[in-house]
Amino acid sequence: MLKLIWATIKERKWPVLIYSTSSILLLLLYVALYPSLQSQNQQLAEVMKNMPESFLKAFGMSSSLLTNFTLESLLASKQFSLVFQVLAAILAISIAGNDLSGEIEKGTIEFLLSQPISRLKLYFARFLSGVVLLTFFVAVSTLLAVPLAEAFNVTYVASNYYKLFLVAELYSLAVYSIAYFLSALFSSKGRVYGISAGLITAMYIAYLFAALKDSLDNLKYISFFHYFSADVLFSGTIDKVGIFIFSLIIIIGIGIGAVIFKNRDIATS
Amino acid sequence: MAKVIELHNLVKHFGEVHAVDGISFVVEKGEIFGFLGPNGAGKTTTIRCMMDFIRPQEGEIKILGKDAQKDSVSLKEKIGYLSDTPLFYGHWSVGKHFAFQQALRGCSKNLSNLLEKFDLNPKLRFSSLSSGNKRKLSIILALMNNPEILILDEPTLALDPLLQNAFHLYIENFAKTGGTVFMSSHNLSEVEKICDRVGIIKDGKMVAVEKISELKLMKMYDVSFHSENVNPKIFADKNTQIVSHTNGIVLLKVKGDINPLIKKLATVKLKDLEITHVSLEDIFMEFYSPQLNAFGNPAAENSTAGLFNGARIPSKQNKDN
Repeated sequence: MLKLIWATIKERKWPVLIYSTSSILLLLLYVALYPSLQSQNQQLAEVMKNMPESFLKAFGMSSSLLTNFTLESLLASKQFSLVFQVLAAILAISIAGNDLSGEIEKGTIEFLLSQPISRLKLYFARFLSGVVLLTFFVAVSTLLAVPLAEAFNVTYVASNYYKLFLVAELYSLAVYSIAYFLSALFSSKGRVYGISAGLITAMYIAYLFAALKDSLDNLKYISFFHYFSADVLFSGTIDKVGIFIFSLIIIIGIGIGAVIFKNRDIATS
Repeated sequence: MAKVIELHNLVKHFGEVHAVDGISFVVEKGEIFGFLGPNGAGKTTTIRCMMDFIRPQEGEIKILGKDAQKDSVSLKEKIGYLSDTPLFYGHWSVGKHFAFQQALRGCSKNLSNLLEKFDLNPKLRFSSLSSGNKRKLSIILALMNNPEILILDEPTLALDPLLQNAFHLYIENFAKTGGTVFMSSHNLSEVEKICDRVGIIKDGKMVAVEKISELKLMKMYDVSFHSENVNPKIFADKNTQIVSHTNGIVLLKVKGDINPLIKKLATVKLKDLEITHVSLEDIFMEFYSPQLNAFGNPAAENSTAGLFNGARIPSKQNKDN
């Protein structure tokens, strides 16, 4: 199984390295810009005070972020309000699509299934390789802020980044699990991409509506963007319900996917 | 002889399409078993069930006495499989495919020998290979880990005659040393040349499982005679068809009992007479052709001709007809 995991990691490494590099460059940009932004903090706070609070919230910001302007508040409003969530979702969906349905679509699944490995072993080997790759991406996108802040002599709260890593990891794995379940179900990766991306977009729209209109506030509970908000970085408080929801989705998605993949017909055209 | 592959009443339907509809047969140790049928007859579906890629609705597949689904992993250690379409990783080299398989199945003892025999460069990228080289890669992957059983779907498609010959020799030697081969093919001369027995599948049903030597003995004859002033129409009946009549030379094809024709011929003054068994290809065509029988003429309603027309829906088909 380890051989299969390692072979898959080597196979899928390039997109992960490219996404990780992009994420690192963004982190570097914000950390490097932080000292100069801090000096303009008062002006920015004045501008943002005039904006409706619900509008700021919809885009992962609040006026309190600026009244207490820290590296965490900057990253929370810029990097981890939407950019990271989108990057992680695209990467997770693309890895999942290639893992199973991509192999069926290309016809290479027969080569794998003709080897003396069980379907479940193949299923979990592919899943675990995806977990390793996503964990690498999430780790460099979150935890690397600590050494970068150190390098630029910026004050930071290290424990908040560890908490951010935990929530970001669970969010990424929850998206991955949904896409991986779809990958076990369908023989075309286009369907996996389409349905997964559609779900994430729908969740984001629900989150926006919930933030913009009080009467639609309950919509936020169906959105991953509510459970993984940038608050964790700013406030250092983990949403335990979010942790539970993400964990539940990971377990259910992977469990049902395993049953489907074990029992379905796998035939290339 | 030990039974190596056993299929009992295998059924696989895709919705209303009866791809495989209750087939049964046995392949014994050391045998080369040819699996014949036109496109859509159910050959690949049967093979995919044997390889546990797809699951039958009914029936049982046993390989080496084990259940092909429950014991799939341990069986695949002993099976060399070749798909009808060689689909591998385009950006991998040929050698990387071998390395990957060896990582999962253990080191191959005959890889260098196979590479030499089939003349394949392991440094080439799969995406740059010709269709013949892709087929060579499939063959080597099927043979390289010392399998006990070979399950091959159209193995010599796209191979040139020299390589086909090399492959046939390898397979014959493999069977002589105790290996068992199950291969589907469209190539009748190949089947005639290397197979011990054939199973013929049509519309998902087995219509014949015979030894090649017994198929050749099917009561089908080419009759040629030379006689002046004879009306060949007197020989035509439901079993005898006139192929040609030129300058007193009459060619007939006979299916079934030849004695009625012999009696008629005894009433005619003959200058020459020759009776031979028809070719194996003609016999197969008797099963294959939907409209033409072995004589190249429309099949009789009660004939076994016209059997092969791909998988279809029996009830619907009857209504349509």
